[in-house]
Amino acid sequence: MARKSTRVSRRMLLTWFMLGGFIFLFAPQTITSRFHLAFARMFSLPLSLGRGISLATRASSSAETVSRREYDKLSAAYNQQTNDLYNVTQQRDREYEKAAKLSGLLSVPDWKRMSFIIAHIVTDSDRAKTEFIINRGRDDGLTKGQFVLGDKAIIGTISEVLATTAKTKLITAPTSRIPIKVIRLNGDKQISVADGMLQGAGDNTAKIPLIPVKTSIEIGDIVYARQQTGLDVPIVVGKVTQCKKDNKNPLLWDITVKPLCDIEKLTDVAIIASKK
Amino acid sequence: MVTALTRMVRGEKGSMQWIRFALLVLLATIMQTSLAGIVAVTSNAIKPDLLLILLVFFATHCNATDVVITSFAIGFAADIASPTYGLIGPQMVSFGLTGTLLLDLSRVVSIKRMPHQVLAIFITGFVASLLAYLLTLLRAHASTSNIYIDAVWKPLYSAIVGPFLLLPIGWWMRISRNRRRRY
Repeated sequence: MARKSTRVSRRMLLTWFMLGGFIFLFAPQTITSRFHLAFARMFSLPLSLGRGISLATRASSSAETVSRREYDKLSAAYNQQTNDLYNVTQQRDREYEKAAKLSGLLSVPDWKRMSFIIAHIVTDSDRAKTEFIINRGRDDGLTKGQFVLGDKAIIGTISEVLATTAKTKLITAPTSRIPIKVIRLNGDKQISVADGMLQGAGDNTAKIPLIPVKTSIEIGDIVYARQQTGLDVPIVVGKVTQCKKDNKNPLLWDITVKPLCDIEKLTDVAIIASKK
Repeated sequence: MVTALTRMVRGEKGSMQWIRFALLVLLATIMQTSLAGIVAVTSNAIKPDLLLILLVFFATHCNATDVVITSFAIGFAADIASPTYGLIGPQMVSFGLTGTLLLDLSRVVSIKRMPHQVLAIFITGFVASLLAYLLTLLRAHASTSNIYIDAVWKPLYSAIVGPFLLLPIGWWMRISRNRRRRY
């Protein structure tokens, strides 16, 4: 029996694929994200292996007085120590305040009430540098909205969770919003300068909008995520790298914040899971 | 049944070998997501776009129907490999359209010599990135600084590396020269 063959014209094929493309484009992100997470879960081994090789090669490719790998190691250690110092100083001041208020009462420090889930980064941040995929998911106790630490500084929050993989939205993503406070280090003391909302701006930076110019903000001020649901203590987020009058509204500051952690060089992250 | 499978794997003379194509795209997607960082340059980690090179190869070596299918499939893989704001679709549509345009162009102009291949990869990358950027704007606020990297530096790097990869791709796909006749 002769086989019946169906011929589809090129124009028809193009139309169908275009339609498919636009359906994908306007589909909710919760659905499209599942494709990325499924891809990362299926090929997590070659992806993390390749990323590891890639990071190691990049680290050893540059010849300097101190090798690049050594420099990166020292730089990461320095970042961790600095961020740790910021967090501990902040914690110490809070504990001093508490001790003053509740003298005589025993209390467990907030920092010790938190537990961490360590996760490995499977894929690099996306084209817009807004999110990356990690190898921990719902089965490991991850839920949407949990804070993610890199080099002991907050780098983002969990935005999508599957059974064994999850997406982390970076603080620099345009849709990211985190309540923060700006602190100035004055010798041994920390002075609270302003409270506000940290909004991602893309380009590996974030902005603090709606801060009036009468507020004293300087380059180098430290930005902490405020105590909130999922975060028992304020934790360092970034540093003010630019502070100028807003071109659109001269009564407000245009404050640029840079994360205190080089996300591109991270291999592991810690997710904050508060102890019950 | 066995004969049909054998045909699919080995391919008939002059027909597209879809299993080889799927394996190649999968390998390129994994490499693009992980290993391509090895050859990344500058502080912006600019790396060659392997899927763009594949797009140009198939658009210049296959027949019209195959080009449409391969272009959209490679675009979908590009959306999976390097998504923008978690979206799928911008690169699928842009790769599909630019692949089809390149198909029409390659019927008029020969893209066999290396300088022509370099130019074809660069222009295709430039147009595809620009189109993907505009499509992304329909759903999200896209960052403007990335557009220079995606539309200029990445296609330029891919254009320099691309012609050297076209030969092994042709060997794997069992395609040695342009199958099509020009107008």
